[in-house]
Amino acid sequence: MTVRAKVLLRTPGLRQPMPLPTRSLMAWIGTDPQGRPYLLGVELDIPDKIALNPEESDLVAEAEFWYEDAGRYVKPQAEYRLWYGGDVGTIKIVELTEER
Amino acid sequence: MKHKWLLIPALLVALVGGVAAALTAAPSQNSGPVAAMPLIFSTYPEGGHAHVSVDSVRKDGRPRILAASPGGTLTLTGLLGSQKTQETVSVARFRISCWVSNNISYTPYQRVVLPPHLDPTVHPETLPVTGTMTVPPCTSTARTPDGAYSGSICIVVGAREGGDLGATCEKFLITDGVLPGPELPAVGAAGLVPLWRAVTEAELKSLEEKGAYSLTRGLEGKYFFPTREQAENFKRLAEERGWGTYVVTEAQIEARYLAKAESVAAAGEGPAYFLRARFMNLVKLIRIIR
Repeated sequence: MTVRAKVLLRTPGLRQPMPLPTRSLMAWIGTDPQGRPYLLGVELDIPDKIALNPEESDLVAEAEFWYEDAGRYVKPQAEYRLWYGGDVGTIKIVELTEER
Repeated sequence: MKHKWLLIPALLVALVGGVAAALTAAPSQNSGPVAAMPLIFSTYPEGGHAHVSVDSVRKDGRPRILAASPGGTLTLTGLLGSQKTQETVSVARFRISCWVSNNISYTPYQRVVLPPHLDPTVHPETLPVTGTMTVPPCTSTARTPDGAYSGSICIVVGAREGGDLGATCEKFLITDGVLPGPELPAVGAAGLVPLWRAVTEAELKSLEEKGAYSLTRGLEGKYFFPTREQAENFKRLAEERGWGTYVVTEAQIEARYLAKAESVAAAGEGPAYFLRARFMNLVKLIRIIR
């Protein structure tokens, strides 16, 4: 099940503006048995912005988690670290808008 | 019998040189495709992990010796063509053998219909043949100027089933432990590691213009997969979701550099590497798979 959701973003760790929409940032949902970050792919967009900027917070964004099993992780109030070669911020699920 | 003796030198040429001579079987009495020996252009093992010592000779930009784990699965691709002016039919199959021949296994025969080669001034049209095999547990190795190897992977062809006449081969080496690929290689590791990435049309245009991967403004790195299958899966997912047309590309990086990258696992996609800007010049584009 893939999920669309409204999310809140904080991006203090970005080094430069990230063009929107983006599929480069991932939700860091755990660690796999080999100790690697276990990530969930997500497309992020903010309709009235063209880029995510470093140090921004409380940004309301539209998110589409494309992994078929995303419903296991994407639930209201769930919060994950944002991964982009490392920890660059957080993504918090505000509400689910579509599940399919 | 005389005809048989004439075939032996040609077979040796094919095995040693890697390119089989075009040999025609007895002409068909029926109208329609003629049974014929195709030219063998190449065979590409995939799904294992390429690995060669630092000073190994490379051929056509590819490692000469492929590292593989016994019991692992290899996907094989061979390209066949013909120099006949009429449509021809041949058979092909893949063979994996340990160098001391204590283990030889084959894929089933595949029938190949090769288009006529009408213009001798251009390269014949080639057809891909694919197969999947399990890597055998070879127990000994041989040494060559290219390094040690445990056995050979070949695509063999003939005019009819049971009549293999020519082959082109690549060597493989059985390795213990985890291969470079899903895990990061150890710091200081030697060898070359294949990487795969599905790219958008915009990135494809950039690749074709520059001949190399590059980062657009705002991006700090790129994700690469350790296997072609993952890149193909991502391409399929992306196109199903309407993200546009994607093309799979193959790249290569030295293991000692990859050891310094970030290794991740993506839900539904599997292991991947995140290569930052400083790695972009170290990732070599090998081919674009259209």
